Amino acid sequence: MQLFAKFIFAAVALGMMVPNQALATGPRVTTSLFSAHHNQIHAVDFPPFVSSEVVDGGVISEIITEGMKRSNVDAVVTTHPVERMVYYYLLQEKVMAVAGSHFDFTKAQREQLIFVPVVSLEERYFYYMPSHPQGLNIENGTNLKGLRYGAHQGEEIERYSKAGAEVVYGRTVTLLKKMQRGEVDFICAPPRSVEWLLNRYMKDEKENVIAMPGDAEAQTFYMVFNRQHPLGEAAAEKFRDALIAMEKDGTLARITSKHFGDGELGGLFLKRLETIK
Amino acid sequence: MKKVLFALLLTSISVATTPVVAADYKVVKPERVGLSSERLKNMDRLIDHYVEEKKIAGAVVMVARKGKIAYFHESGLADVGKPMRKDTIFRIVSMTKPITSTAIMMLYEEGKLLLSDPVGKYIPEFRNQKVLVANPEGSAFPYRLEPVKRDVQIRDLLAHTSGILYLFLNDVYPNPTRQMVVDLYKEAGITDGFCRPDEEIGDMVKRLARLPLYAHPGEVWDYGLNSDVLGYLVEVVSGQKFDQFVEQRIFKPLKMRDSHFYIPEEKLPRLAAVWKSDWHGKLERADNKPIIAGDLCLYPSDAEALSGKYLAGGANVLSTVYDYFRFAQMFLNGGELDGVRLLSRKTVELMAATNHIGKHDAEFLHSKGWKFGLGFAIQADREHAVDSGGVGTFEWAGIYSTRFSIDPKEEKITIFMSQTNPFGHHFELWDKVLVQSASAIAD
Repeated sequence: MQLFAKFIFAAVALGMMVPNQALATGPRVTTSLFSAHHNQIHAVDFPPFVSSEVVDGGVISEIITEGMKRSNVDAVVTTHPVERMVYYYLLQEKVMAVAGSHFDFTKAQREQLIFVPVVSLEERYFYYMPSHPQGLNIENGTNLKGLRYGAHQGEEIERYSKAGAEVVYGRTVTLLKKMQRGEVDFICAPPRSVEWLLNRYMKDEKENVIAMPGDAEAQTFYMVFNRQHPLGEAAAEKFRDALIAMEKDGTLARITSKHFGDGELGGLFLKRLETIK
Repeated sequence: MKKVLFALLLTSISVATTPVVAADYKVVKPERVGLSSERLKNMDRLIDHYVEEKKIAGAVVMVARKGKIAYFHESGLADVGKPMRKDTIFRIVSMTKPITSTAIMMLYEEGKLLLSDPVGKYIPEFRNQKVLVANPEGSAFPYRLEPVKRDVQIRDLLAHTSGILYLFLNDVYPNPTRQMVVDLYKEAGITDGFCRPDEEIGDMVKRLARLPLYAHPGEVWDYGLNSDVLGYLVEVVSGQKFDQFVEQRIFKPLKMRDSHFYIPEEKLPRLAAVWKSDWHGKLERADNKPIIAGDLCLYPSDAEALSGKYLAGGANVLSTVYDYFRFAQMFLNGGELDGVRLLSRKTVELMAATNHIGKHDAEFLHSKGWKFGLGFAIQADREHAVDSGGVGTFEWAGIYSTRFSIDPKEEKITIFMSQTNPFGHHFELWDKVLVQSASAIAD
């Protein structure tokens, strides 16, 4: 729980009523693969928080699905391997909502969107020990000349480039592999993500990927509702209310504990779906 | 006496320093199977001339007819200071594809799948796929996604009509839509598999399935990562790792003893090097760095890995001319070799039928006049530039310059293997090899 962050809830009331839509049918993160669905919430793969490989789609997926269910909006989370697919659905197809972080919208685009923070994730900087046997600490971050920063698409990178670092883009797993190959010096990511990806793809390198001391800035994961969708504004308000209610009645704690806790269901975040039959 | 001793000494040194030859090659007199020895000398001259001109470092060529090897010639170098040998091991790359197709067709015959099955029945990520369509220039968004008119079926993967692409053909057939799809592939970490990624094939396939298709299934013929998807499909349907399935069900029964997904250490000395050729006499051995040209990435050193996770149904296998002859002879025999039946005659006929890709031509290697079956191209007429000797001849090739050709009417197999980059120069040489093979027929 300590690594998984605090939940943030918005206080802005939209003051609009949501007409009852199709009845919610429960968490269907992975079942979205089985049938086309009119209200898909598009998100980029972000394991173990949002991933079709994790039980119930991961903790954030489950929170979103539960929140939407309580908002009486029948919706499923669909994950994509690349962020530009998420942009596509939001901006071209004008879907009701997408979910994610590191969004890079223009001012005009932002005016058409409603951002509802779902969760704030602590992040850490990581480096690859064999490339930096003396360790690497970029705490003050003012002089990064000669270093290569591995960034995610849409991430704010100005501070790194201003400090002289070269910026290389990729998915988190790609950046970890680039670190291993000596093509990237450091990355910034939630420790849970790094831990999951190392377990899944680079088990032998677990000891070599080192977290620098201290937290980096937190990463906020949003639901982004579309004002251009007939349900967008109303759904945003309902979803906000649902999140507040879920925190009060202990649902958020239960879902979090299910994925990260030590109880009977705890630790599901590490389990790939195919391993649970 | 001294000469005899010297010869014996040489023989013993040779035995001690070179790996044991894997197969007992029985080569018959060409006339016994209706081929002309005299005319086959043209093949010697052809290959030796390309070696002398330093267009290629070396090659192994075989012509077999009526089940017998009638011509088996090696020329030039396999590596620096190492002559080409009949048992030299080659990266056969895309000649892996017919092997993968065979695995799928064996499962088909066992009733485990139908060619008309949607791939999404077995790999859920293939459900609800979209096709990328370019928007008119100046549109707010460069493309739109349309739901597929029908799902990708197993037959589409076998015949390359799925709308799944290879990245490297972006340089060969450039257009904005292809570029946009390839950009999405790159962002998602999809590769052609010729520079082997450090992941399991299923991980790649599941990401690929969630990206847009280049065209509606069944509406194009576009050579792509389809066999790689099929390799993973074999895993899903059979419950076995793809390499284990192929080794147990295809390589072992056919006695393809030198065919591997990852090379055993003791066979490393038999692996040919890859050579870079400008086709004008400048020839150099490729070093241990990836060879990158536009969207094409080749990494010859991948073949030296003794183990690995990636099992590409479109590219992984290492083999010899003799082993591939055994595989090809199984096809020529209607699915059986030496009493071991892998496929029925009817299934082989289905694989070699010419109507799987409709009005399209399999243009990538052969241009017009060639169709694509369920794993290889098939000559459909004798009116076009590339003529391998007869209608119904089926064949495919590998990107490091390997090619096989099976002429069912003449009961003839031709196999050429070299390891030369870049790929594009070799069409001329391959075509000449097939002309020599066909023109040696003397009955």
